[in-house]
Order: sequence, then C-alpha cells, then structure tokens
Amino acid sequence: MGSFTIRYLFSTLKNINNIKPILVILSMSITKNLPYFLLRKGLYMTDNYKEVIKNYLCSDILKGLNDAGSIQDDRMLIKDGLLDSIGIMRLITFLGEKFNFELSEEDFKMENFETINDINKLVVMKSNKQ
Amino acid sequence: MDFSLDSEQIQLKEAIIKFSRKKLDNPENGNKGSNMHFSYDGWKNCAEFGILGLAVPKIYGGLELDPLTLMIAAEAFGYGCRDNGLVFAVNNHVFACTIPILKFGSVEQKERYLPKLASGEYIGAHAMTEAGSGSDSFSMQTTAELRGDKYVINGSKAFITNAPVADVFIVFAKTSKDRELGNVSAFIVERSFPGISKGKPFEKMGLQNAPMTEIYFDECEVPVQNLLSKAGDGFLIFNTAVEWERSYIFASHLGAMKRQLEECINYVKNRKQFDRPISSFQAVSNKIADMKMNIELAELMLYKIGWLKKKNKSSFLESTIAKLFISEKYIQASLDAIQLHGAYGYMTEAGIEQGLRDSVASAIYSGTSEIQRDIIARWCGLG
Repeated sequence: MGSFTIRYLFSTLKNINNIKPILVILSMSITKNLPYFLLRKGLYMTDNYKEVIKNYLCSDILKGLNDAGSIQDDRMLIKDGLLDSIGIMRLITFLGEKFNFELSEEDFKMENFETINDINKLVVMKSNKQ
Repeated sequence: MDFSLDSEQIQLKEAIIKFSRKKLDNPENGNKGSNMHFSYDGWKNCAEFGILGLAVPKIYGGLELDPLTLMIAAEAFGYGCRDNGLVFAVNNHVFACTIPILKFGSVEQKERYLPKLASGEYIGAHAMTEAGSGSDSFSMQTTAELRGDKYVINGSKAFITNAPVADVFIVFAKTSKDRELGNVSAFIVERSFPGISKGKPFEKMGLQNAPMTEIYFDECEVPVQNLLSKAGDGFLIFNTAVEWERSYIFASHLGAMKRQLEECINYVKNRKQFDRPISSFQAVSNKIADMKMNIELAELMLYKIGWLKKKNKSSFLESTIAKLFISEKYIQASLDAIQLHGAYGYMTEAGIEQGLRDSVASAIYSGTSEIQRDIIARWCGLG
C-alpha cells in the first residue's frame, strides 16, 4: 500500500464523511496485490492460471490464434500443429518466470503440454508444492 | 551479484588444468592428419581422474558437481587439454549421452548405465541426425515399432560422434512417419543389441580424435525397458540434451579460446619487427583486444547459464545465444591466431592452424548458426 494512501488515511480518519473514498482506495490497493499474495500462498484460483496461460499463448505463441477466448481448454495444441518446438520451450520459460517455480526435467513430458488443461494442471501442481 | 569463484571451484579448476596438461597434453594427439584415431589412453586417464563422471551422482560413482561448478570444470578441461578432438569426444559422452539418462532415466536405467558411463567402461554417443534430417531433425525417417516386449528400430543415423567406439547410444526414432512432435521417442541402445551396425569412420577437417560415422538399424531389437522416459517424450529429451550441449561443450571451447589468447599475447610481445614488438602495432593489439572482449562476454553468458541451471530454471534461449556467439568468435579467434603468428601460424608443426580446423565445426554441430538465429528471432516473436 503506497505511502500516499497511508498519509491520506490518517488525515481523513478524523472526518467520517471521507470513509467512502478510503474504502475505495483500500479495496484498490488490496485487489492489486491480492492475486500476487494468493499466488505466493498457493491460493491462486485455477481459472486465473488458465487465463494467464491462455493470454500468453495467444499473444504470439499459438499459430493463427490471438484471441484467448477462441481456444478451447481441451484443444490438442501439439497434435493440431498450434504449438511447435520453439513454442513449447518459450512456454516452459514463461511458466517458470511468471509463476516463480522450478521446472525440472521430470516435468518435461509431452502429456504436460498437450492442452490448456494439461498445462494448467502442471502449474497448479508445481505451485501447490511451494 | 557475486561473480567470484569459491575456493572449491578454484581448486577444482586448477586440478583439472594440471591433470589435462600432464596426462592429456600430448602434442602427438592433436594433429593426426587424415588418420582416424581415438585416444584410449586419454580416455582412460580422464576416467581415472573423474572427468567422465563429473555430472553423475555420487551413488553411481560420479562427482555430482552442481551445474555452475560443472561449467567451470568444462572450461578448465578445454583450457588444459590441447587435444580438441578428445575434449569433444568426452563432452559428447558426458552431455549428450550421460545427461539424458541422468535426467530422464528410470532408477533401473540409471543403475544399469550411469556407473559404467562414469567409469568410462562404456563410451556414450547421441544419435539424432540423419542424412536427410540435420537442422530439420524431426523429419527423421528412423522408426520404432512396438512388438510385444520390444521396440524394433529401422533406419540410420549420420555424423554420430563417438559412434565407431561407442557402447551405448541415445537413439531418437519415430513411432509413425507423421511430423507430429509427440511421435518421437528416445531409446538407450547398446552396441550388442541385434540389428545395429556401423559404417566406416569419416575423415574430417578437424577434431581427429573424435571419430564419427553412420549407424544402421535393421530390425534392431530394443527391450521396452530401454525406452527413455515415456513414448513420445523424445522431443523434450532431445531439447534438454541439446541445451546442455550448447552450454557445456562450448564452455570447453571458451577454455580453448583462453589458451589461444595467452599464446597469441606471448607471441606478439616477443616477436619483433621494425625494431619493436609487433604488439605495439595497433592492427595487432586490436585483434588481441577483440579476442579478450569476446572471451569475457562468453564467460558471462556461460556462468549465467550455470546459475540458471543450478536454480532449475530454463536456459534454452541463453544456451542458444551462447552457442551462436561462442562458435563464431571461436572460429574468428582461431583465424586471428594464425594471422598473428604469420607464416609460422600456417605451418602444421606449430599446432596453431589445428585450432581453426577444429573450430569450424562448432558453427555446425548442436544446431547450425543459421538455426540458432532462427530460434532467437522466433523467441522475439518473429516468424
């Protein structure tokens, strides 16, 4: 929470009429940090992981797809030619950096990268281990 | 960031250099001309010292070095041993054969192969490339068909380092002819398995002590227990192996570049023309400066890779960049070393031109420079 927010809080606590803006600022501050907090505590909702994964893949990895909403969670990414060898390696790097966990060679199995659901399952498993 | 080596790393580095100079630095080894040769004495010495088992866990007879210390060891090996062919043969054994079994093998596979690979009893090789599929490795034609409790492999592999002398191969084959990535599997194939044969060793421009040939599979039977990881995981196993190759084989090349630089500095300081050392001419000192700059940059990249691997982080992009940079600078440094030594550098007896003949292949194996640039561009979102 920023120092501006704290100073504002102290100065306005005296005046009860200012409670509404205080609540707004508090909620904005918490919700901005909540996902990161929950992620580190292993409490990130599964759907949030999927959104992050889909958005990344559709940004420039999956061939011909740039809309996360257009890809089904059980679409065969490798079999259908959407995810190629470089794409998989970029994805592995992204997952390790974004979710801050270690991916070792024992995670390097094709079954972990076949569909969005498979990738999500890997991320959930690795995050819960932390 | 602390870039300094700890005392154990320094001791290990010095020990490897001392060992390499004393036991491997045989001037006769480095320049065999067109005679194909494998230095069994050098191999035996490397095994006794422990170089073949640097990455192998202690329970299997290795030294279990962490990835960063392993990088320092690989560099020291390349620096101390002038026989670039032997260095290449050892590195292929360690990083292209031993590492895939270590990282992807079952407990039973590790118990069966790692002790023998670490001791040097088995010589390892890695068989991916085919005559028709080099850069486009996944267009391979070699197939593996599951029949009962065996896989039957048919096809051939080309330009396989150590193949003339290898006991164990990591062989990649497809379960169908489709291009799909999930159709490639990796197998541990022993020389003694029925249906495997070898061609005649190739005569090469350099790396004479790293023999290379084709291997042929004609109804070669491989027990299902020798499948590495799961069927279809071959692509990820290959990418992992090639990531280690691109980093650690090129760490040894960095060591060779450091040795070249020292020799060049020594020569240009002592060689006099026009009553002064040739080092006082800027055209000469500029070459030295470039060699030094490239060495420092290569070292930073390699140590970063060692650090990433120690943290179990992917270093695919970094190893691609390192391989591209080091291979091209190694070739340039080898050319410059000849130029700096003048006519003397051109004579085979001086041993300087061998460096160029050994370095040229570095821009080809483990993925050509063109492919490395492709990968980097794709990583930036292009193509």
